[in-house]
Amino acid sequence: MDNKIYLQLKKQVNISEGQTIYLHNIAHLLCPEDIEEKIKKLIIPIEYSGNDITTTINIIEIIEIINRAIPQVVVLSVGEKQVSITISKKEPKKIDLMNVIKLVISFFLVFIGSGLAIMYFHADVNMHKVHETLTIAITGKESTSPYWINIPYSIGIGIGIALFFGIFPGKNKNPDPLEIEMFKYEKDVNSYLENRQNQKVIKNE
Amino acid sequence: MNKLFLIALGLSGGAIIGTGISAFITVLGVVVRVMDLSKTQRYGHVYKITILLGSLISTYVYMFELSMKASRIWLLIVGLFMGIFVGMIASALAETLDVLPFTSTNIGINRWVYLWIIALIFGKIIGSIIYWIIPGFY
Repeated sequence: MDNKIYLQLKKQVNISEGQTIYLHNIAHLLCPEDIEEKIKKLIIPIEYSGNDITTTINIIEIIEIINRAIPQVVVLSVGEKQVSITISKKEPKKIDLMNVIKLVISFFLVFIGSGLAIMYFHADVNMHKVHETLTIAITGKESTSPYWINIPYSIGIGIGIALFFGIFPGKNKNPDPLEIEMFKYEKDVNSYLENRQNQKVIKNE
Repeated sequence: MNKLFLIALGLSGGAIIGTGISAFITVLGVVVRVMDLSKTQRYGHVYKITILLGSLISTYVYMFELSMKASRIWLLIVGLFMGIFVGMIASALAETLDVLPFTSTNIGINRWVYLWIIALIFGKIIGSIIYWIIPGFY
């Protein structure tokens, strides 16, 4: 590999606003030692405007940059064809008031909403009839006090949700369904943005 | 002749409901989640038989109004497990609708999403208790 550079783009990188991106930030490299330092320190110019938080760079652009700097090398790309770069705004460390308000409002939204939803569900599936029948089935008596089944049932709902989302701490740390769902959602958003970026490039040409 | 028709009707209706209920439980991923949590994926067939037995027995109890004449303590246990299952079904349904990831990314409070689940849990518990204790809901 006298003058070949093997380049493996990363799929996704996160940088903070204003940071300079070097080539080694966005790709794994394998190249001759004498030019390694030079290659690693190549600056990738990225443009982002205001609200745009995700941008993509194609392999072609990167090869162009490398060839401009060091004309005599051959770049061999293995892996991804483009890298998506997420630019995160510099977040203030302290929690500001606006976030607290958002948090409280959304907390109440979920709190009230889920309570309402469970009431709807019970009324819809005629749950009290089921509980009465079960009381008779188990004790043989006309429901003396249905609370015997209702209260543990209500607490059980909470335990069920906690179990499902893996709230309880423990050594069993498989990703829980919510984490997977969040990951899928982010992946969808990223692939949509990549697609849109590509279409923009095609239109400009 | 009428009775034969009724038998055919009951049989086919039951078959459809049976496939429906097992598909419902399986597709929502509740059983898979239980297996995952308890690390008992190897015993998949036990779960199948359990689902079968559970649906069959509860159908007979419900239809023929059987009674075990057992102590009231059993109500607590049955109620608790019913609740756990309903809680898992409810969260699986809510999660299928992608409400939580969507809103949390939009509002930008990714870090706080577990607080949402706490809110969800207490909302459900309190909503359910209100439904049962305060008269007039049913």
